[in-house]
Amino acid sequence: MIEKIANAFSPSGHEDEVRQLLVESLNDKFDKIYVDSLGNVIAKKGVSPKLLIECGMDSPGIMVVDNSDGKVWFSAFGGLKAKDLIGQNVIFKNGIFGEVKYDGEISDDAKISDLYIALDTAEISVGNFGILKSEFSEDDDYYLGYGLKSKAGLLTVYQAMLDLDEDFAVLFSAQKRIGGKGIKAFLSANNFECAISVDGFCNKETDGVVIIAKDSTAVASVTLRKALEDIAKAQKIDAKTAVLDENFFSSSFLTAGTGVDWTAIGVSSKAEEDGKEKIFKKELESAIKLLKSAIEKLN
Amino acid sequence: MLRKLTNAFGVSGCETEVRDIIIEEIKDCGADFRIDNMGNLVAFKKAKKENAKTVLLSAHMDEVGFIVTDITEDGYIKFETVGGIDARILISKRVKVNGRCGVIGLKPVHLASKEERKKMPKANELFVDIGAKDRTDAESVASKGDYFGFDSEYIEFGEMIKAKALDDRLGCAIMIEILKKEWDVNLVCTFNVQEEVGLRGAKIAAKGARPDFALVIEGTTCNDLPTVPKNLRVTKSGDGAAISVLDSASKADRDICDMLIKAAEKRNISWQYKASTAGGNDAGAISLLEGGIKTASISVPCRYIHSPVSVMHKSDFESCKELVEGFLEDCGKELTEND
Repeated sequence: MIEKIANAFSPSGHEDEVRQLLVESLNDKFDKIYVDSLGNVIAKKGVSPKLLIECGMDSPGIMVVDNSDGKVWFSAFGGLKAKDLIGQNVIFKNGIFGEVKYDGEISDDAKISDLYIALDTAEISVGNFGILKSEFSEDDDYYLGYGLKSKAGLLTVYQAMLDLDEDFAVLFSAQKRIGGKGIKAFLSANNFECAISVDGFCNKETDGVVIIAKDSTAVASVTLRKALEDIAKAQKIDAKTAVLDENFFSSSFLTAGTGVDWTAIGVSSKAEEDGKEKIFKKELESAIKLLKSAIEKLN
Repeated sequence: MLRKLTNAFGVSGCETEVRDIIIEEIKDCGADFRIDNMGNLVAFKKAKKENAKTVLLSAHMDEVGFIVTDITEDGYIKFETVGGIDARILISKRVKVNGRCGVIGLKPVHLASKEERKKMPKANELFVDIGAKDRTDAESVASKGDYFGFDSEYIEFGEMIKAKALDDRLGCAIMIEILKKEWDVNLVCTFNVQEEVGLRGAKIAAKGARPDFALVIEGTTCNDLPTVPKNLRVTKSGDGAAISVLDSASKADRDICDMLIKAAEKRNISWQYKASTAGGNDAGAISLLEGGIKTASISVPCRYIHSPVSVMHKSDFESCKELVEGFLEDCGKELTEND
């Protein structure tokens, strides 16, 4: 399942493969599972759970804007930078993939609009979406692949929730990488007392599993954050509290309905020189254990 | 209709004149309408049949413009822009301030230093000359906080139309035409305020409509210009209505996009994709309402958008209108077939 999730084609707004995997594998494990208008998958245990767990289903990607003369030009979304893309393989829904080229000298000045995919095919059209080809692999200590950071939350949540009997809801959010659209739409019509997001992050200064005290937009609930810190301490889980300059969409949660107590669990990913992202199994296990314990204790 | 709408004044927050024109046009078309506290005009027209789907159409009434920030001792108006205007296009443009003509002025080239000639002035470094002899004279025309807009007449030339505020009076004009016809879907048409200053009106206007689908009708960027390479051209004038896939405000619903493409191909209506992820419109606000609403955007390519001389191809406007109508027809038919 981990490999399937890591390899799934799921650029923002095109999360069908992940959605199908989730609906099929979780159908008999939750009281209710459904897909909403924006493509979010919502799984619920209990009649009206007060705790919401959230993770994203989508990956950053590219959208084709022109295909002519053997060159496929594109825009990027979800935080992909030109330097992340040069020399990498981009794969499309139909399985066609090609290398991203840049005719200038590689530097921080390279712009996405100067990059193209060397592909001479009529099977790629304007409006098609692509993602970095995952090239997933693993060894005893880690998982490795392109775009793995965006799947870290999903990998954590999926594994944490399978054997739990407590009442809680899970929002597998669509379009998270393009502004938390799925989260915002879902929260505009659903109320919870507290929520925990789980997501990957890249941060040179902070390793391992973190409990978010503040993300780039707002502060987390002190009560909920401290509850998670206590759980981590009691369970001897190696988790640090951190202030991260990444957007976990805290303000969308905090101001939803009548207000939601919110924090997030961050799973660090390490960017390798070739652009692949590495997630250590030990850290993923810590995040799973922390989330599992949190769901049990917060009920 | 488009002439009347584009000549009207309607800078974000001051849409009354535009709204009044629309009300005059739709008051006898069999639609109910209301104006909410923000100033949005929301029209409802019931389907010809029972158990029909509900489709929300959305266009915004407001246009980019200016607000008076100060009046100088010698009677010039200082201003800031309302909505996204490129300061480079402002110099020497005509504006209308509370009905009085004015021009956006700048120190003459003879008196500009070398540095000043190289530098592009910011909006707050410019001023409007309304021909006032001093502050008192100017204050008889305008006060701090007054809004004003470009002064530009609707003109047809060749197959093109030049006007200010094509974005998005063209959408308003299409919705007016649609409201005058009968449909097999329940129609909710929201004529929104304040799109240009943060998609504000749509958040309120579309609330409670709970449509099956929402379609935003817009004017969009068209940069098919000599200096722009093909891979950077967002839309091409004359190539038809532009269907958005992804922009900075929303990801278009794929079902609606598929329906639009099907509707276009069935009726031989010209269409193109909007080939860019930049920009955004009221779809960004509507799609996130009430648990999520399936929303997409269809646009008419407008060259020199957000300027007093935006230019569109007449055939693109027709394609857009026909495609929205085809979409509504198909939405109505689909239910009949599935009944």
